[in-house]
Amino acid sequence: MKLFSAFLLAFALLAGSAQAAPLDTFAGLQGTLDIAGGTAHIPVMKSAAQAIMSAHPALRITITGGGSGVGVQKVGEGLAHIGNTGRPLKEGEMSKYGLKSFPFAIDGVAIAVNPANSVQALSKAQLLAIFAGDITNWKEVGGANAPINLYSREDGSGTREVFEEKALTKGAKTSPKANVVNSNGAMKTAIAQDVNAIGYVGIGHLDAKIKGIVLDGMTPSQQNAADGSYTVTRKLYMNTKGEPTGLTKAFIEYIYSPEGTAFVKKAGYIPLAK
Amino acid sequence: MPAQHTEQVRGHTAAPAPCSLPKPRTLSARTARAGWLLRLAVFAALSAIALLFIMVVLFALPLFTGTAEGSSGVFSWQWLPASGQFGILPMLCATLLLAFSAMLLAMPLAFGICAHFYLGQKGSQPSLFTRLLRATVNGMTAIPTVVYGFTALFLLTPLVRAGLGGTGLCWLSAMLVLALLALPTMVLVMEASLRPRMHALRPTAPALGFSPVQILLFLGLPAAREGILSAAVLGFGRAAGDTLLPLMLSGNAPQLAFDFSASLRTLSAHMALVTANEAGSTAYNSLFAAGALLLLVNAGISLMARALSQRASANPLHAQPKSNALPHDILCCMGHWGSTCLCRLTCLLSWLAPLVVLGALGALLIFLCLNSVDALNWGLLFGSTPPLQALLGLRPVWDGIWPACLGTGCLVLCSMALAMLPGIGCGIYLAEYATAGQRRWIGCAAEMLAGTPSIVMGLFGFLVILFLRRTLLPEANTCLLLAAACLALLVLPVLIIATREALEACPHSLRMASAALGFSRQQALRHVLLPAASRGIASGMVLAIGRAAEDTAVIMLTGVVANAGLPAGLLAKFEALPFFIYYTAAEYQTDMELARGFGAALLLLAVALVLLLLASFMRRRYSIRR
Repeated sequence: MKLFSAFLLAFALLAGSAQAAPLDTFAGLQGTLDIAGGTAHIPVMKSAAQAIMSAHPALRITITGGGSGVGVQKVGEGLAHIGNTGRPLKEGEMSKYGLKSFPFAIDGVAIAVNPANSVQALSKAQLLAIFAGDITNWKEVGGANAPINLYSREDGSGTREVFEEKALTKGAKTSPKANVVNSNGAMKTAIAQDVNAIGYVGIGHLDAKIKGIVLDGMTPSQQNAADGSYTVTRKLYMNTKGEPTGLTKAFIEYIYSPEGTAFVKKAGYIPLAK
Repeated sequence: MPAQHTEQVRGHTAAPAPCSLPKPRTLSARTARAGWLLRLAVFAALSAIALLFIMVVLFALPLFTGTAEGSSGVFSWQWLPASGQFGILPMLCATLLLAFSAMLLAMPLAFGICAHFYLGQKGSQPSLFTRLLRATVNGMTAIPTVVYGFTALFLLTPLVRAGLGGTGLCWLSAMLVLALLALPTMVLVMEASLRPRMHALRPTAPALGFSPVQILLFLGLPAAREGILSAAVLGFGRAAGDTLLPLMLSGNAPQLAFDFSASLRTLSAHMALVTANEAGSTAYNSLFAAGALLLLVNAGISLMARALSQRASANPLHAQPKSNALPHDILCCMGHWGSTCLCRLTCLLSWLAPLVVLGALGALLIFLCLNSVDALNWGLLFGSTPPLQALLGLRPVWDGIWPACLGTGCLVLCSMALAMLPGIGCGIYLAEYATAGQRRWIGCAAEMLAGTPSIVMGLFGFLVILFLRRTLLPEANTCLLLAAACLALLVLPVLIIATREALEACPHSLRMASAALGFSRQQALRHVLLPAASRGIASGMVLAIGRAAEDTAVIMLTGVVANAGLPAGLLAKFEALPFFIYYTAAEYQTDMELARGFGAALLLLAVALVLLLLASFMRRRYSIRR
């Protein structure tokens, strides 16, 4: 909190004295920018919006979540200017709406359990069996004698797609008995409260409250995701309908600027160059 | 849903005043205009209701009839979109199961509380505890669902997990809180139906040697059975229509399960979840099917409740009850021992139920207060921005709920501005001008609207935008105006019914006196009846404001966002307080953010209770004047 207010203050000072360079591109721009979609993107978008709106109070940037599916749908239907997705666009989506993608960060998807759980590592086969609902007790994978509580994300979630494709196998299905939560944050809350839980979140969301599981010898961390030794990764995309212009263009460029990449790092992701 | 029980209350207590005044032959220019305005209001209200039903059913029709590609799967038992199975029947079952179990749980509680009102008092004055109980039940009608959901997520689910195992996000958690949600409606309806019966029995039954509990059980209860049934039906409807509690508490697994610790997904929660799918896909379109199913279920419930209340009012107090032989039969069958047991049980329930409900609410409130204590300061509202600058709009507010508060304020203002004319106009028309047939049809439409789940209203708004974008206005977008319009539709029945009740409650002598003084009907309405009914109408408006301020499901689909700054106009997206609370429950990263969520919940609860107090104060003043 303290760090954050120092941060704000720094920006206020910058704005007051000599306009920081990347924010200059917003000078003279007006109007509203609506951003919707992937929940993993929100921390980055929010920090950027705060910085921009503090320097240029006439601008309005609205941010809402909903998941990757909502991102595609909103930007495709023209209901938002930027639709975020945590997965690449599908062929159909790209051609149907004429969307253009801007990957700006790499995020890993980590298998997460409660810190009180003694299980540290799982093999892919075990994970498959757990999510298919075949293994239902933690003792079968070396843990305590307790039932496994499955948590999954809603259909259409980018995190879920990456998880099912890369951590499980392509075409693998999650048991319909799994509880469904609809954001990275809700997943984290659920796992942090439930000792017997297993689920998955963006690596950026791992902290003391939830524990990442070593999968087939791969430890989930941002370094490993960046150097490719952790393979359950995905890119985070901003998508626009056609070539971005005006405020949308300025915002996207700001995300790629040094200040933008600082926000990406702060949120726990690895920035990508344009 | 306060509209529904107020309607019930009216049905049981006040028979509509007969309007026998002759219609004036000549109309002055002013009165002719009033008639036109009223008709316009009725037309606006009715066409909005018709549009709602037509739109939702129209969009769902291709899925029902199976003409759309791959849609034959909607009425099946598997929801696996990845392998092309889109069955929503498990969700329908979960909705019915959850609502029915919540109603079954709430029924004895509601009866226990009603019994306490009759058995708990020793003297002629109700005791302090009884008065507290009555105030609590009234106050419960105002508790926002999002506050229930948010608090239960952190208080109840860990307890359920400890007791039952599993995840804590399950049938039981959702059922317990839904029962609490449906309870006040059920108590109010039940009591409104019991009160006149018990009153009528007062001189005779004790003289025949019946004890109070015997009077209640064997004479009052059978006579009021329509009221009891309609309480059950309305409670069921309230539980089936809710979105937020199942979404937050029941785990949302799309499966068919009959285990209290099993995770369930209701139709309403399904609607909130599938919007994340690719637009146009069958998974996404099942949203419309779920909406239509939910609409049909609740419309059926409204019709059933209406039929029940009409049967009750067609069965006047002093007529010979058809069930005359019933108590005798029961007593004979059970014998002395059985009936004594039943009486003891009722006495026990009359203390147990109030204690359970008060305990649950007390725990909820204390938990809310304890957890929000860290956040209760200026920072809750304004974050790190100095309050004065934030108030003047000089600097944007981050990490504070001020923009959300203002957003909710604007939303409420807009929706009231939109709902006021059609609502009050329609109420006046119903009370003063409508023929018996119109009365039946418009009243029926208003009740169907009152029974419509709020997520379906949200879906309707979303459909309107989709429709507009494809036809007239390609630039149309979800926004404050749209959300306000949908909320206006949500509070319309509250206004209609409050206005109608207030006018019908005006003493007949007022009408006679104005007619005798040569007032035309319009003049009497304008100068005598409306002023007399103004407080009743105003209290209806305050209730409507409370309803508009607390609703989350409507705005979720119609333009609320997590981050927008201060509201920037009718066509812009906005923040709102209930959505902030819902969003915090799902997305909080730090304990400070969570405490802020609790603070916001406490604030919303306080606002809702203050509005309710205002409304009941107005109503009381009004009834004294009457």
